[in-house]
Amino acid sequence: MTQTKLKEIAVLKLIGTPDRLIARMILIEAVGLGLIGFLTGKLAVSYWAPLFPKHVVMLPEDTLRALAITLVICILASVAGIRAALWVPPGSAIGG
Amino acid sequence: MPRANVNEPAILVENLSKTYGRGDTAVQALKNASLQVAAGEVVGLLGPSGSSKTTLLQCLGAITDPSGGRIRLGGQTLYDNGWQYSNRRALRRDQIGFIFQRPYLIPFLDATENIAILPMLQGQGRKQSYARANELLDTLDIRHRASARIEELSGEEQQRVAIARALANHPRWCWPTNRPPRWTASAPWTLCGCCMKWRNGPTQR
Repeated sequence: MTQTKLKEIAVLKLIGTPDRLIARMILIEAVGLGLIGFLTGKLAVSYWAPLFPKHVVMLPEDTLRALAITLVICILASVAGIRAALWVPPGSAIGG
Repeated sequence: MPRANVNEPAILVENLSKTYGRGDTAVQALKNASLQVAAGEVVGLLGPSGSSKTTLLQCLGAITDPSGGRIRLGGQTLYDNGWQYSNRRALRRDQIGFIFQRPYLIPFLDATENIAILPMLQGQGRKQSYARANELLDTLDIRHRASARIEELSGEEQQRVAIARALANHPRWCWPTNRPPRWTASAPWTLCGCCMKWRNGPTQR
């Protein structure tokens, strides 16, 4: 998602937004999307499970483990976006 | 930064050069460009497309790295064959207002937020930043579009928001690069009108 917003990020840098704020925005977006996906999955598992003939037992610690893995994946994924955002020059917002 | 010399022009450019690329493909956009602008003076750069007007303003705005020369703003050395100002992003945020040919607004913020973001980045409170944004929206006669998303604004309205954003932090310098596409000389919110108001009006910080 960051790749499609590089122009906006360049504008933010142009008007003086510090790198750490831009990095935080990307991280929050990645983790937020991950949490929304996790909660959607958790609700689907909780409410749709009775509709299926075979059940998989998910203990509370399995859920916590899945949450931790989701967050780690989101944080790692945001690193690529943060790197791209920090690399983009502010002048690219306005062309040559 | 070195101490300011109060007798100097507000903007002093000496032998500024800028070369894009290297070797056979190198293009020298600026060659020993020199310029002096007195405090309060409004100066227009005229020239054909490709004559490096924007490059000069990008160098003055600490956006593009010059290849050589000297830039002094308000008697302080900004560039002397190398940047002399460590936090150029803060310089752009606090002291320079940019107005570009296209508005370049942040699409996921509304009109007020696009203006208020500047004072907020400077560390001002949310209430104070929004008050400043509303004041500028009033000045530019677009208060009624304050909560509109950017894609809901017309080209003219977007340009007015961009002008308001440029003036949000009471900048010491304003670089309007190229005139806006819809230029109406008689309207009070035109680029020229705003610059004159900005020059003559209260700019206390």
